[in-house]
Amino acid sequence: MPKIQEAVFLNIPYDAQFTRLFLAYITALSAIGFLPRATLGITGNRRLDRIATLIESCSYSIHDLSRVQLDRHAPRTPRFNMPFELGLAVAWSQAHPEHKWFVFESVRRRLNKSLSDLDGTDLYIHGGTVRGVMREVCNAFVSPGKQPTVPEMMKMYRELRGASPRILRNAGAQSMFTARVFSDLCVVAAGLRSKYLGAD
Amino acid sequence: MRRPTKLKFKPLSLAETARLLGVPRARALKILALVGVGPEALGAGTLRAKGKARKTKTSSRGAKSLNQ
Repeated sequence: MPKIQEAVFLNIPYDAQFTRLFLAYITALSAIGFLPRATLGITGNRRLDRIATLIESCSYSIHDLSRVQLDRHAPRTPRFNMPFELGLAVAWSQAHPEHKWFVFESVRRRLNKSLSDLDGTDLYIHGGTVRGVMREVCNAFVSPGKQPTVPEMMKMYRELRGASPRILRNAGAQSMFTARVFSDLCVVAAGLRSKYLGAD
Repeated sequence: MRRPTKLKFKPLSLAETARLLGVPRARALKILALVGVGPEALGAGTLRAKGKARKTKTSSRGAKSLNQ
């Protein structure tokens, strides 16, 4: 997989309760002019190999650890995937410093307790809100050109969310977290960028 | 204190985004219509991989290529 300078690996949970923030990340990254990438959109045999390849192909990665918690079903277990993938990105970044990684959380100081190895790392606390995700993405990245504002991103988000049922229906999908729906959402978000920010 | 990452990159165009995601032009046009984004935003034929222009048949009178 070739490296794409504008690609951002999105390490997030794939569950229905995260849908709003999933759309918020796609919107915010697209508004800046990035290409969101996720494990949903890649093919290959072993999942771990796919994740590693994806991290290597992206210049940046966002790791949202806001839902690293015990699930409801027995046996109740914490979700290790997101911190594990963060570890892969950190290891990759140690050898390839051009790769930048960012940690997002919803609750301040929780990560200091759950993952104290990250003490001293800048954390981006979005508070579990769409607006918070947009604010923190803007805090993490400063683009060279015109920086989109949070209100502009919110307009894009509302329109993307409004179109999402039809995107799902067109794809014949029940869930947002499928490869086709993900790529369609990214294209629509990029279209909204040109519509609202006059890009292209 | 947080230090924003100053980026050196060229924001992706819509056409380039669709190409990198492997979304065919017809599908991209269909889903973009859902949010009122017209075909002009994608440009003309920009999703086609860069390379040689397709050869087209010309009539015996030497009609112009369809690519022109």
